[in-house]
Amino acid sequence: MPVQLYNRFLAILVLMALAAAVGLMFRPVRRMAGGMGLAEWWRWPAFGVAALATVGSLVFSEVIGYQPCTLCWYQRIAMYPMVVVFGVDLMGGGRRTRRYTLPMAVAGGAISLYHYLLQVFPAVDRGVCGTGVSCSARYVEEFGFISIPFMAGAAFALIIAILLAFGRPVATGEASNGG
Amino acid sequence: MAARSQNAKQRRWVIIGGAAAVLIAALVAITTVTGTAPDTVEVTVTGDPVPVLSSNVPLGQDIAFGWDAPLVEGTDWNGNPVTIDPGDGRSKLIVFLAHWCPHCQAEVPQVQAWLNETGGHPDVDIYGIATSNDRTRPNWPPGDWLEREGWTPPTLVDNSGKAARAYGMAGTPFWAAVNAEGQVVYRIAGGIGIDGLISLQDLSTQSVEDLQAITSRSQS
Repeated sequence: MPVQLYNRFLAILVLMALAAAVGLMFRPVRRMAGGMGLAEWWRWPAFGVAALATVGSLVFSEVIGYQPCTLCWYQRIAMYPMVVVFGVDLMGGGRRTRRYTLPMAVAGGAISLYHYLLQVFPAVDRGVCGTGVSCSARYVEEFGFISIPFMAGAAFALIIAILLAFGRPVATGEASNGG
Repeated sequence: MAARSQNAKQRRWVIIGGAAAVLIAALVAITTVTGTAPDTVEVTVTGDPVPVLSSNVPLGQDIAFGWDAPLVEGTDWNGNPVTIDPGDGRSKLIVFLAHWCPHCQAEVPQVQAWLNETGGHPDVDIYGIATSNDRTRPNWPPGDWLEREGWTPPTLVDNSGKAARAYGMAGTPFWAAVNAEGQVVYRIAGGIGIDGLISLQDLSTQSVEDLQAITSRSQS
């Protein structure tokens, strides 16, 4: 039960994240979200998403025992540092968070997309995973389509959406909102 | 002052919103996940385990020939109880399947197609045992695989390998034929196809004495 429950929990969060990411593409939603505080406090959800994705992936590998494949590691390389960057920014240390995190999120998202395509169409594989842990194996398949790279991709997508919608670089000297 | 208060209120809303999303996801997950996950399934074996099948041998030469088959209890992937009781007076075939094993992946659709076509032998029950489960190997989880194949025999989840050891499994797929007296009459490792399945069913409907008579006749 716990693993099944955990997978379902993350899958529902992923659906929410995707809905939010898509919603943020539209001006009225952006305006509404901004009015509710995200324009000022966007670092909190960005940090939350990165932290949840990091903890989620660590639970998969260290608690449940799913061995990460090469592409999983590449996505981790993109996701894990964002927790630190957003975290530092939350403490008031950041000025150009978007400049650092947006490329990481885009790169991570691109890898997630490729990884997911690899799972759906194994013929796309160009041997990136070699003989190690299979990249096309699906440890998780919630609702028939949500696998681990799909989850990661949704997290990257939401971070990208938040950064594009609200995370404009703050001019030097302008006070960080601490959030 | 008012701006600061507004700011604090906004931050509170952002945090509450995030927490609410997590809470809603948890509640939806709890209410939509049903059944028992494979990781928590317990298998109970009653009776002595039969020795491991060292190699596929002709009828009567298996060391476990005529041994009392152990009773195995557990659950399927949805948490429904599955009991393979050799004492229920029914002949049975038990197939041990590993989700990652190509021969099992080939065997399952053949057997299921045959079951769909014929309805199976009226006097022989077929059971599956999903064993050697390994989430790091392909075609995980086995419950989804068997569901995709439309697999109908009751299938017990054997994560610990207890059921496999109880029947002396030697590779997958692994078939064990148990007669109505609850005795092991034949075991075979590897894919057997439909012809093999039909032969195995015939064996499982006979007593050990009858089978001994057949083997001694064929030897003389």
